[in-house]
Amino acid sequence: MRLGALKSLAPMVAVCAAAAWLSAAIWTLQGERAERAVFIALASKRDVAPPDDASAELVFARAHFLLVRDRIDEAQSLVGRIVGQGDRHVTARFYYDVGNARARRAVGAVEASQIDKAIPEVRLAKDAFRASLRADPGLWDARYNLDVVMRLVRDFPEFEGLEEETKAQPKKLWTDLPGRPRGLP
Amino acid sequence: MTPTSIAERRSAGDGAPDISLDDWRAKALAFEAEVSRAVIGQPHVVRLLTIALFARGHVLLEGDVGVGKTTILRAVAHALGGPFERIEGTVDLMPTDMLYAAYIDDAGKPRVDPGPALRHGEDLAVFFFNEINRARPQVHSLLLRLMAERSVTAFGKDWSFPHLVVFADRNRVEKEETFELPAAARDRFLMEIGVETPHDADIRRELVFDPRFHDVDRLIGGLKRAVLDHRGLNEAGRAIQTSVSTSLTLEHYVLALWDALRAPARAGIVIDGVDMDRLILAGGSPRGVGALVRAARVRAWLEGRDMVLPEDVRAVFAPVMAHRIFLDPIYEPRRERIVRALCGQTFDKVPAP
Amino acid sequence: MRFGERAARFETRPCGPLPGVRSMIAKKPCPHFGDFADPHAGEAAAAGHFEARSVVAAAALAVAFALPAPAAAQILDRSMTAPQPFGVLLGDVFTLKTRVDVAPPFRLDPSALPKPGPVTYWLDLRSVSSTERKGPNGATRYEISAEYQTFYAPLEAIEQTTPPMKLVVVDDAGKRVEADGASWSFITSPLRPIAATAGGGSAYGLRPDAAPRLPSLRSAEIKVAAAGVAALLALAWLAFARAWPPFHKRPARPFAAAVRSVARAARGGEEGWRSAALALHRAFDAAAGRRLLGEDLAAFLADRPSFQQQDAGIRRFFDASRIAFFGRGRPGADMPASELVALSRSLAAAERAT
Repeated sequence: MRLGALKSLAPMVAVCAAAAWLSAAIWTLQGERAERAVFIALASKRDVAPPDDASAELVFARAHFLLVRDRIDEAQSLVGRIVGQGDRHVTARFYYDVGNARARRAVGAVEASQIDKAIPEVRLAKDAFRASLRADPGLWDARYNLDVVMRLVRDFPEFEGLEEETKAQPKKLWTDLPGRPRGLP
Repeated sequence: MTPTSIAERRSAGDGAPDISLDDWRAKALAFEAEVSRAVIGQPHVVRLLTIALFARGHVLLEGDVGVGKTTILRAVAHALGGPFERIEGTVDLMPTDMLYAAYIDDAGKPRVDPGPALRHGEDLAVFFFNEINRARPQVHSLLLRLMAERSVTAFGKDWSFPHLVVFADRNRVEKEETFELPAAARDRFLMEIGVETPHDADIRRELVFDPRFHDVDRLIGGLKRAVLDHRGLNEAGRAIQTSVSTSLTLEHYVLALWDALRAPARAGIVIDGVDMDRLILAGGSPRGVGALVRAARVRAWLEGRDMVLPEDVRAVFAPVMAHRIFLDPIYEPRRERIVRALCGQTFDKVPAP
Repeated sequence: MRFGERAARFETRPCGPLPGVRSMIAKKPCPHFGDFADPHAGEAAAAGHFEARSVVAAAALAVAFALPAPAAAQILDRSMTAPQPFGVLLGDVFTLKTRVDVAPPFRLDPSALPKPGPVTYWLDLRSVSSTERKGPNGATRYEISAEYQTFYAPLEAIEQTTPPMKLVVVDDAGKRVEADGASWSFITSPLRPIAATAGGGSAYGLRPDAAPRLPSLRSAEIKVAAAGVAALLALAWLAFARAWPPFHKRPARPFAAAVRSVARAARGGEEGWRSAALALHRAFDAAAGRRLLGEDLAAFLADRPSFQQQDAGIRRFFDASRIAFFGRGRPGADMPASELVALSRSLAAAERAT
């Protein structure tokens, strides 16, 4: 009798479960569609702020949008929303792009012979590339660019001393970054 | 079954005779109980015989040798009371042998006395024809008249037997030197009841080892005599027929059954290895279906109902109808199996109500 | 990609000297220990040490520590396993496994193990973990697995040495004994030639930005499709179980079909009651596989335990039907149409449970 009751109840339970699954799947799909729309807007060079519950990839897309336009400070304010979601590949690519943006600034300063401006940017770029490699050692472009900026400072021998300082105080790594919110890693 | 029943409607005066059917039912059940003391393991045979008695129909018992056909009939005759006569069917039995007994008397003169059928006069209650298929067709035709009209002509006058019931038996083992009953004769029998060895192991053991069953004369003699009054049966039978009602639905149902017997293919009946379109030559006569309803009414009354249900029809269907179905000759050798399947499927296919 | 993975097939190759080439290999790229922290000064001693332990070293990439005197009583044995000590690039991750046998009652102080973070300006400790099990001679054997990442950007292939790990053993009395773990020297190579830096502008050529990837909706769409199919299947199952259209003619669910016709017919007065009862009778016929009469009920119910709960209702229906169809009662007098509908509902439910 208990088996019989189970038999007559099972299809109803299955329908409920399948309906729940379907609505969850549709909900997810709708969310991804909305994200994709933001992606496409960003890709077509419109500055659209991602919603609060955006995925790390979408926040990264926004950060990338800002970084290629040299709006590094704005992009760095998104760090918590990217790193906090725990996807190390996105984290690595975000830091890599930050490093690239810093490196571009540094190279630009070097080419303009503004060496004083270049040095802090190189330091920040190195830090960003290291953070990127910590998150994802497999990001070979980050290794390469870290190598590039490392040689950039080797061209400036006085930097060796600076590097020793950062090593000694690793916790203060980010304090040089303007606009970075406090209290985040 | 509602408590408003036969007695009430009788007092309402719808033309029913002034007898107590409830008393009759009590007697009928007592009769069954009495017969069942001698005949064990055959309750449905006893029930059918009771139905036949109250439906005022003749019965042909059929079965293997030694299953107790004769014992059953003797027990019924004994419990019924009334004059009882018995004759053995043989090849050389002639119709006159049933009516006249010719012999040489003490004085050496030839004398002719009334034969077995007439010996008890017109009060004869049961005429028991043993081994009917051994008798010649001439005998069959006399029996036909006796059954159909309950009368014979002898000694230059007509004899009428208003209370007569004919029981016949036939063993189905022997086919040598036998004369198959003509269709008309078979149609006159209300029922053809198959008697089989009881299946129940305890009952079979009892039948074989209990000395009570070894001496049939004592067994029958030990029964109460005349539980039923054979003279009242006609009237009781008529009262039953008028008091037990059949609804329109049931009438349609019986007609549908009849149609199914006549054209089984159309009713969706399928029997293995049988071409249903050519199986049936004749699927029950109107007289047969009338007998079916009569028997069904009696059965409903015995069950204490005042309405006929499909169950009643089903209970008496095979005994009443089976021997009235005539099959294509090529199927006759397998008749028993085919007819049983046909009757069973008829009730499986025809919707009720 | 981690360095350790790239080097996986080297892991089991003994770093220790192979016969014949021992002295060449033993010079540098092997783990060496606190006692010989300066590889140049201790070269001869190291070679001698390797010679003495050659059997052990050839068996696995494991080399025993030379024990400093004060710790000898507590730390019975030390050895370290490391990947191949060359071809290490900027950003590579490698794992050094140190095995330490500690004599009771001393035990390794896990809080004294180094914390993940920068070790030197070019080296990060990514993680450290230790396991503990029973070692030989009643000692406790600790396996310390430390994962490092190098950020050293060499201009040419150059040797680097990891700082030794500090091991601290304590006993219940609070006595502390410190010992140095192994350090590891390896050859790290540049990613690019030096010449490139002399080329001017191209030296600053950066790899392009990592572009955000337009997320694919495919997996979400597939999930929706799968969920949709599952929902349809479940619905079909439900419809099948309850004999809803298109399964309303399902032979095994006569009562489910009867519920509909009974409910429809039951509204139509006496005639409706009759057709409702007929529909229910047909359902019983279908369930029994033949025409079911009132007298057959006992056998019918005996075969169908799930219907037995409806025993009383079924018998009531058959009695009411007898009176309506074969007796002289009015249809529905004994069993109102609503009861008919209720009975067919519960029979349909019972039928699903068979």
